[in-house]
Amino acid sequence: MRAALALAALLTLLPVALHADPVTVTDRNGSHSFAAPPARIVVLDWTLAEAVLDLGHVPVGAPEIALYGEWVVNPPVPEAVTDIGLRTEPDLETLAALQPDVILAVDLDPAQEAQLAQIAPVLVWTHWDAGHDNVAATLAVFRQVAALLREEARAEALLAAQEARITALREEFAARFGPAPPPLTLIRLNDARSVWIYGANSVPQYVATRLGFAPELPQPASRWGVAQHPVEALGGATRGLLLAIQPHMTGAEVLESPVWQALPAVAGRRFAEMRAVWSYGSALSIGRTAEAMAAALRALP
Amino acid sequence: MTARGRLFRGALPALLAGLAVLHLWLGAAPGMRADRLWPLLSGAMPDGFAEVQFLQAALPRLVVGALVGAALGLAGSLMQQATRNPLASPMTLGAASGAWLAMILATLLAPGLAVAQGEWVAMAGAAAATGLVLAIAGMRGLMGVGAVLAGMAVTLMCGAFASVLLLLKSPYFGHLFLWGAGDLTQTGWASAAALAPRLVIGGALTLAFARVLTLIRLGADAAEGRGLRLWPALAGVATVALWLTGLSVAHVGMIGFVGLVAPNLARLLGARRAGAELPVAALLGSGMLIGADALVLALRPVMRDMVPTGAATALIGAPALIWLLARPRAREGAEVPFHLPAPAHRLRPLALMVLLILPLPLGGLALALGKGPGGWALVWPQDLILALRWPRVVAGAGAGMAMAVAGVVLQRLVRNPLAGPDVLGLSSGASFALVMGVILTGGSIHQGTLPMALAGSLSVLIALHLLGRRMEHDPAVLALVGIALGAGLDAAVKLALASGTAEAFSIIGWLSGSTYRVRPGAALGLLALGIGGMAVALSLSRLLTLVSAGAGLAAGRGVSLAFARPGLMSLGGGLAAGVTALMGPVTFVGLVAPHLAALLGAQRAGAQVAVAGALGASLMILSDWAGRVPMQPFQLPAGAIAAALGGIYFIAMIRRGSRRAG
Repeated sequence: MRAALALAALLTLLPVALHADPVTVTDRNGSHSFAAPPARIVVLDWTLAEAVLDLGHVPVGAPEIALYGEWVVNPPVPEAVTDIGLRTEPDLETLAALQPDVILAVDLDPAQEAQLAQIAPVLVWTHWDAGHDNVAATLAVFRQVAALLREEARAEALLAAQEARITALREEFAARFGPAPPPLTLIRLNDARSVWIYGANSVPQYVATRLGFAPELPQPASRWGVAQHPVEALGGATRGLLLAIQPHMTGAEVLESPVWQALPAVAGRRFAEMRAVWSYGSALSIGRTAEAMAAALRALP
Repeated sequence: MTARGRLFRGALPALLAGLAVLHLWLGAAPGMRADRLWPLLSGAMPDGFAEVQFLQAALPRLVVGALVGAALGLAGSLMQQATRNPLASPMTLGAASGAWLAMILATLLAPGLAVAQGEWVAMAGAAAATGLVLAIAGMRGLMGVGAVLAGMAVTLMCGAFASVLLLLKSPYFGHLFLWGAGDLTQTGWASAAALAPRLVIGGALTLAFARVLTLIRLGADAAEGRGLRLWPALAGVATVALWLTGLSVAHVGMIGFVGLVAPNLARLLGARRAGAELPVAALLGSGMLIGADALVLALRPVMRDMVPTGAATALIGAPALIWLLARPRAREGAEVPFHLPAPAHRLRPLALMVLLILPLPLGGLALALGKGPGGWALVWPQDLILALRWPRVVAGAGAGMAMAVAGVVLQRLVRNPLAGPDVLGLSSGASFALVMGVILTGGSIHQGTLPMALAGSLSVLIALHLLGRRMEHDPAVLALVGIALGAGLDAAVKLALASGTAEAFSIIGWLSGSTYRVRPGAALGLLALGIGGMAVALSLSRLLTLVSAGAGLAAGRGVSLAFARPGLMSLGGGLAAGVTALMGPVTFVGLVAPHLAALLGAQRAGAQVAVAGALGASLMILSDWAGRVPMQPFQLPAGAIAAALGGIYFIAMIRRGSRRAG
């Protein structure tokens, strides 16, 4: 067994050793070359933590790991990863002590980028923006991270498998709901009185559309693709399904309220809860969102 | 006036009914039919969601708005009558922010308690904050602007603590933004059912106090001469007012201005007796809140995100406050009640030297003492770590120095030891410009520029100057413009924050004054600002001495205050705008450092400027270190730590003052 493992490890390492040419990636500042795929990676964002972990690598540092465990959940962050503090203000000294080969970030302000550049090369991508397609961006960033790690083949295989799963799920729901599936409203609970509704330029709505469900309460495109509304706004969803992504936190209070109980989707038993999945995740979170959505939809009577 | 006022008071119920109908019409869902109104109200089963929405959302929203508006109107009227201060209110005396901080603390430490016993948690917070204001301003001070300045300082302090908690626990508290902004959305009758009986009790108690309040209006001596035991009576009035405040904060969050404006409006309409002012203030409070909420409902279809009701009341209330100010009666009792305790002795030259160079060893320590991979270490850092640390230490020192100098200048100019660039709204002006920039352009708060901040501060300076000229440079005007601006900023921030997204957290972080993003160039700029400001202030020390001695004396020595006032005001405003643009607003340092300097014996203008500057720098170096190192990797903004330290200083000062008095 041990010999087999050693052989497997050798075979995995072999291609790396054989590559002599540098890796080249493109971020918002242009093209960057690395002599070899960097081994010690620090990510400043949960999206990139997902991307690196999904590609089979482990970053040396990531922010707010305890909260990641509640809001992102998958892929889990191994214990060995060092917590570098808040996503908005990661601790630069902890970061420097990790002696990273590269720092990966999205949407940094230029002042912070200059600070980080003192510690290690920084790759920054424009990721969440009202003016572009967030889903296209998440795919592009994932592929750039894969190029950096020299995992392009693995990335394409994972994406292809994800596409196949989405197609299968779409067929499953086409079989269940017929040629005209009901529209769908995706929300996150906020507090006893208000909710977030996902709209254009959000990953959850993209996934719902791929599975064949059109939004019943369309929201305009924005940077994060969500809009905050009073619970009663969900009364506009008269025909369709309603899914709330977990964790609910204090929002669970709303489930007891008379207005919630009277919502057409709730009264008509077309409401289900979706297990936790990060709405601002990396490319493979598209598939995770699809699976969570499918599980919730199957639970509907 | 009275005839017109009586007419208006007579028409008030009809006006209120009209507003209520408008509110219901705007709040009802599209499918609601007018002819179903009476059947539904007389107990018919609702048919379809639109009718449920009407019965369980639109109607309770109106009722909660009316009840909370009345509660705030009553609380404000009680506070204003008991203190005989037309500027007293749950917002201006710090009660609302105390309640809000208590609710955040409870949500963090005991979520069950916050939900089940919210009103008592909020009331305890309101009582603690008001007690602090009372202790700072003193019993007599409650009657004047001193109370409002103290209330502003306590509000800033509570806000700083609240920001720290919000930043530490970010995603858990996203929902608190909306609640903190004050929103009337209802999803059933729970809040209305809880509020109604309590308000009946509160209203009855309030009316029972009408005679007491009438006697208090005669003045303390006259009241006691007529057999009133003043302290128990005032304690009773305060308890009811704080309870009403706690109730409204617990159920709908922070709604500003209603409690301040409604009683003033009631008196303006001729309701002069205590027994008449209370019910009219309650009705006007209801009307104001329902009217502001109707505006929110009308905006709902065109806004992407919810607009919190608190933002609307601030938007309406801030101009109303300035309008009230223009009425002389609103500005009675503007004498300065808060006096710094006299120092034990004059500062010795050696002590002066030590104080002046204090920032240097402290700065060195802040650079060297850190937590490395191997734990605590006091070593001179290697190049990379040094490059990360020094801009923050230098920026903190420069910002602290600049704010302290601005504080000395403004406190002497306004002749009030509670005046500071933050309390007077000079920082708010700059912050307001930058936050509005974010809202309008959709950019990042960290890309705000110096010209924007300067434009913001300059507008405040011009407003202060124009208003000041009309109102004989009354310190009350300066304080209230500060509060009005602070509230305007608050409304803008609430609009930006209610969305609860990542930008909200970056704005909160920026508003707390963090050295985190300060680049070497900006750090040196802040240091230059501090040293330059200090040099200018030192060269003006004779002017500062004369200005603080009073207008008559200054004129006698040939100093024209017509030029000196705007000049000194610009110096203070320019320093505050520079700090705000380069790093973010820094509160409390401008208030505390000048006091400490005076307490240590640096009484003369020149010495106070120099010592306060050095102390301000030291305080910020310390705060930055405390936010940066002990909780690594978590980082807290230096400004928030400085504000918290400032709060501790205030409490210490009060203890000292009360020991002396006792």
